[in-house]
Amino acid sequence: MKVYVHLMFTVSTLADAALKPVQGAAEGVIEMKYTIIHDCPDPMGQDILRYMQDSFKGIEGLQFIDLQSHPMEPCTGCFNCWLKTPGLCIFHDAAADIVKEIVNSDRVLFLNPLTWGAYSPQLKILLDRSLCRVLPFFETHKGETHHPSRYEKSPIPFLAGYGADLDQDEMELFKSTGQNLNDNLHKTGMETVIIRNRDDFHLLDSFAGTKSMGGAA
Amino acid sequence: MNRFLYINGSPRGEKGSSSALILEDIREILKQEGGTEEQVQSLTLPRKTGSSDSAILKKMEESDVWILALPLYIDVLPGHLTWWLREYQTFREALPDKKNIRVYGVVNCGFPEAVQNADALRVLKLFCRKSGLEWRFGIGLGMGEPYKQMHGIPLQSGMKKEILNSYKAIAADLQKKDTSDFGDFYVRIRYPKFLYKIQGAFGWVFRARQNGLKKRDLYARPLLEA
Ligand SMILES: Cc1cc2nc3c(=O)[nH]c(=O)nc-3n(C[C@H](O)[C@H](O)[C@H](O)COP(=O)(O)O)c2cc1C
Repeated sequence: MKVYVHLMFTVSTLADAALKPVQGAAEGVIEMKYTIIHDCPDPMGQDILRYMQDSFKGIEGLQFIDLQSHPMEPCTGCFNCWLKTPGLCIFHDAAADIVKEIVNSDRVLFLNPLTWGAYSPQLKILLDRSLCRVLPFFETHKGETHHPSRYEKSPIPFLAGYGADLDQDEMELFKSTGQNLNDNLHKTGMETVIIRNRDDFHLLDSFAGTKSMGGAA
Repeated sequence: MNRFLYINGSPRGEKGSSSALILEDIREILKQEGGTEEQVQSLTLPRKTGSSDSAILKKMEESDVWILALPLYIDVLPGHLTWWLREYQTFREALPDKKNIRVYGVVNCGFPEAVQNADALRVLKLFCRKSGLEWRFGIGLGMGEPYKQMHGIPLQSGMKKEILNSYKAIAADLQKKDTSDFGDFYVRIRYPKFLYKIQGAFGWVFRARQNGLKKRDLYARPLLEA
């Protein structure tokens, strides 16, 4: 997908949602890379996936990655990705490749069935393997200790959880889970959405396409 | 009869995990506080996922009390543990009668703030509710990574008072007949946060040196595409 970047004096065109003004940037074309990482082991998830495949059809630079078809080694907690081979995991498997795709994306969407208010097992295995995206050192962020990012730029994350009969506690916890993911790994703008039925599918629309450009806070 | 199951949810397993030592300490305190244990078993959940093991799920089912210790991974439970608990939930759903199991959860994290474990405890609580298990309470433990190095300091020392009290609360909860709620505990060793952070940073650089790396090597960005 191509995003047209204009000089700041085109502020009057801000209302046009397809434009993303960047201060001082000369007019040019930026390639955007969108990555959708999905763990959809059930019919509801498959339905949502089909919806996204339809809505995002034709968007350049957008890829889908299916966690169900990629066996991944769970993290061993060895910290080698910090202290022995900085930035690289000891396991050279699908998770390592997917983490690389995330690092090099502009926007990343994680879709998974809400599991006790948090991530599905497959997605969580992948996220644990993302420890290599941060540095071992400590910094204070919003009054709590966190690790600084290894990479200057972080993809803007979009966390989507689905489930047919979710209770209030699960939904509240999932919102908090999204916030934590942002504070820990991304530290950029973040959207967390919960999909309970077909009426909620449209909440995914803003991830890519013309409607997405305002959200890059 | 009280059949106790001590479950280690760290992928580091029995050797080298803080979770293993936490379980050892709790077991010791429960013993001291009075004979609530009648049969004791331990279980370290395998790091490997993908194929289930009915022996493990049965062992989990055939107990009356779980003491589950785990590390905090990206704010919630480690992936492999999420996988195993999901397996157990599915297994339990299929059982015709579900007997009660009381669950205590201890989450330890690398950061100094114990409250960073709060969401992981909420996840465990929801897991219990969905699986028909009786969640009792949780302990969130900050500064968990050096639990090993500081294991030589007795639990009875002033520095570990908060931790000891939270372990004793498990014993007290097991002994009392009523079901009133203790609430969760957030504890850590009494140690200055700033010192912990400074030592942490030195510790990483020191360990990297042992691997033949310089401090600046730790900032590598090997995954960046040109
Ligand atoms: C993949 C991974 C993710 C982690 N995420 C967090 C985190 O979000 N917050 C935190 O305070 N510590 C985090 N830690 C640190 C562990 O919680 C800490 O090292 C803990 O003491 C390990 O306990 P164990 O030895 O019982 O496995 C993480 C460690 C790993 C390996």
